[in-house]
Amino acid sequence: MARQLDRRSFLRTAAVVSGATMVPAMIGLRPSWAQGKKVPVGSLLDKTGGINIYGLPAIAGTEYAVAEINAKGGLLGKQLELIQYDTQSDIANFPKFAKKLILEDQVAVIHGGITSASRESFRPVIDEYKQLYFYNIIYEGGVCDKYVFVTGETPTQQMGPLSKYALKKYGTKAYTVAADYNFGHISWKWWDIFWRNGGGLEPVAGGKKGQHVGKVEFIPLDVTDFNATINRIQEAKPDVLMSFLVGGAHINFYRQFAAAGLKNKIPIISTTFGFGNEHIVLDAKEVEGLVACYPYFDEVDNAQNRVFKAAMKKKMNNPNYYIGDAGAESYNGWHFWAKGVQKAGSFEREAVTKALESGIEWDSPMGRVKLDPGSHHVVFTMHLAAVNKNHGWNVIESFPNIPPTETMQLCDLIKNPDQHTQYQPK
Amino acid sequence: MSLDTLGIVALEILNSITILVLLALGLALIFGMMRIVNLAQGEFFTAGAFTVLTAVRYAHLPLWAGMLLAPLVVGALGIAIERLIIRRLYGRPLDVMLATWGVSLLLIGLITVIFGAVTQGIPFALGNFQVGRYSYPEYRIVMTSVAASLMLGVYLLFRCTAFGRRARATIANPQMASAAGINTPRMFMLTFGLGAGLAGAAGAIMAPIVGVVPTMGVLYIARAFITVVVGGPVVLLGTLSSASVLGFIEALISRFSLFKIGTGGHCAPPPCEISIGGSAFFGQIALLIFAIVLLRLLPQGLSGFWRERE
Repeated sequence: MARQLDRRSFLRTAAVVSGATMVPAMIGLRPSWAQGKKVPVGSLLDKTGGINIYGLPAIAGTEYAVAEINAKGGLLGKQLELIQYDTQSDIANFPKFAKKLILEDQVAVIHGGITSASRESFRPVIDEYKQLYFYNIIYEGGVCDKYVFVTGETPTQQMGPLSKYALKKYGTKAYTVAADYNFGHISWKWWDIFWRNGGGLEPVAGGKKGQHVGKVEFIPLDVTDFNATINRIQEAKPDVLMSFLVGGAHINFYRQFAAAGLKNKIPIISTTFGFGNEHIVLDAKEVEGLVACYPYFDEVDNAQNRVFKAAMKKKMNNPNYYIGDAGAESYNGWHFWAKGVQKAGSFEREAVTKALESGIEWDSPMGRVKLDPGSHHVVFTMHLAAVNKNHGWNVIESFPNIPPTETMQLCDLIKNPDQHTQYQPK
Repeated sequence: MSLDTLGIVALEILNSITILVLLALGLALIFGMMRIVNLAQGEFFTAGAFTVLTAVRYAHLPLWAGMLLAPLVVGALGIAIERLIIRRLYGRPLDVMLATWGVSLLLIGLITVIFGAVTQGIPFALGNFQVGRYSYPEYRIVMTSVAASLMLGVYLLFRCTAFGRRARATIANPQMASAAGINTPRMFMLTFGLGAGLAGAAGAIMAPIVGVVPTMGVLYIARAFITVVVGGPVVLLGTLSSASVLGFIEALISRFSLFKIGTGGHCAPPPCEISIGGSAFFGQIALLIFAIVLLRLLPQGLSGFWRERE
């Protein structure tokens, strides 16, 4: 019997169908990963565009970590199926692809996001769908979100050692240049606290205290000519220059700074230089001696790192491949998640979160790393290092077990789990 | 203001003007003379930079040899594109725009496939000199001299050679030129190739101070178009005057704070205020605002305005 499809019955059917498809999302019904042979997992990184100086090493670390987990039999007897989207250094792609990963691909976990602007663009999507998410890169600190784990370093871990070193070695007058978006602005607020306190969140007793000369300069990501900035720095005559510059275009700053003959006059310290492997792109005569502080340099020597380096060189088919901090942190992020899954015996967000919050600790290529349960951040051994003559780094000093104090002070997700925010200094 | 600051600001202005001239010169021929909206112009610039990179990094040629090679390689590329694509679309401005946009994407793709989507650099050896308290890179002066020579070269080419006369005749009135025995398709082809070659030269000259990456053209194409449009119908003098005005504004606003707006909250160091002007960000904004206002008042551009008054 043929039935006439009239407008009213069409609308009724449409309402029922769309209602039915929306119900799982509304009541938080998630796909069951127990049934299939493979478990889909997602990664959002910039393979192309100005941010790919970080994206490419992070992708290499991600691919190797997943391949390694699969080669060892996968997780809970299942192979991982890595689904990657190239976010093209375009913020608009992050929420779009995050939704696609969650709704279409039904991934168990999302890793990725590079700039803090990109992370904040899709963290609301993560929160809306209660999706487990790992952010594996150095950033300005303060993210406090039950669904988010951060395996990158934060201001205390970098700026503490950097400011103490610079105050002792160079002097008290600093000039600051920063990328003009949330990362640069929030980093500047923390840096001001650390620098003026002599290297701590509270004033450090005894030591020298820093001061600023000139005005902090925020530089848009697409600026490639730094002529005026460099002359302003010369005018201010700082003892040291702090750089929060980000991305491919900003690499030119260091080159132009050296071309103006300032490399040996004004030393540079940075929380961002090097994790995009800028020291490979630039020449030693342009940046030798620049000081940065990361939990990972290829030069850090331990058994895990020797294996990791050999494997990455083989994977990239390049005997001179430099992994860098972004590659190692992505690798670590995936392994933190894998350890959570194994401990939980489940891929479900709540079980994995609970397992991770029991305090996971392991020997990574960086050395011993420990997840702080309350803040969902990582305690690292930090290394202060200077760029050497051969496109590598010489470690100056190492600082074991540095916690992400600024975030831990403000964020306790065990006592107060219902938080989905980012703290910053007022 | 002390004397050395005055000197350094003058150098900054000269540098801004130089960069705009370099970016706009090739486009001025293609867009200004031939009225072709060539959206692939940024990629000609990129191709110039990659020619230098290839010559220095892989063929181990000296830097200057790579820089001489770049306009030839990119000029040849321009001629090939004119023969294959643009030629079929003369008199169809929208189609040309779409086609050159396609060429632009294709070139970005090709360069990415060959060199990878990574940022690479070309270090350079020249030193710096002292202006009072400031030290300034010599290479910036080299850039200015090259830009000036290119400008002069193009002027002499169009003014004093048989090729220049024929090219100008072709652009002014193709039918008449053709009737007078000029091979007009060949003139269009060579002019387009010259415009492409100049963009290649610009990319080569700027390669040592910027990061070389397949998408680098995108960062410069807008400024090139703005300079040419503001310049108006007189190709060389228009470009030079608009680059001078826009470069002057950009460099000045990049350096000096116009006024300050007080804000609340935590700021360091105090007082709490936002300075309008005095950074690269405001320099870019000032350039755009100035270009918009200028085009509102003088829709024919700077040189169109002189012409009307004559």
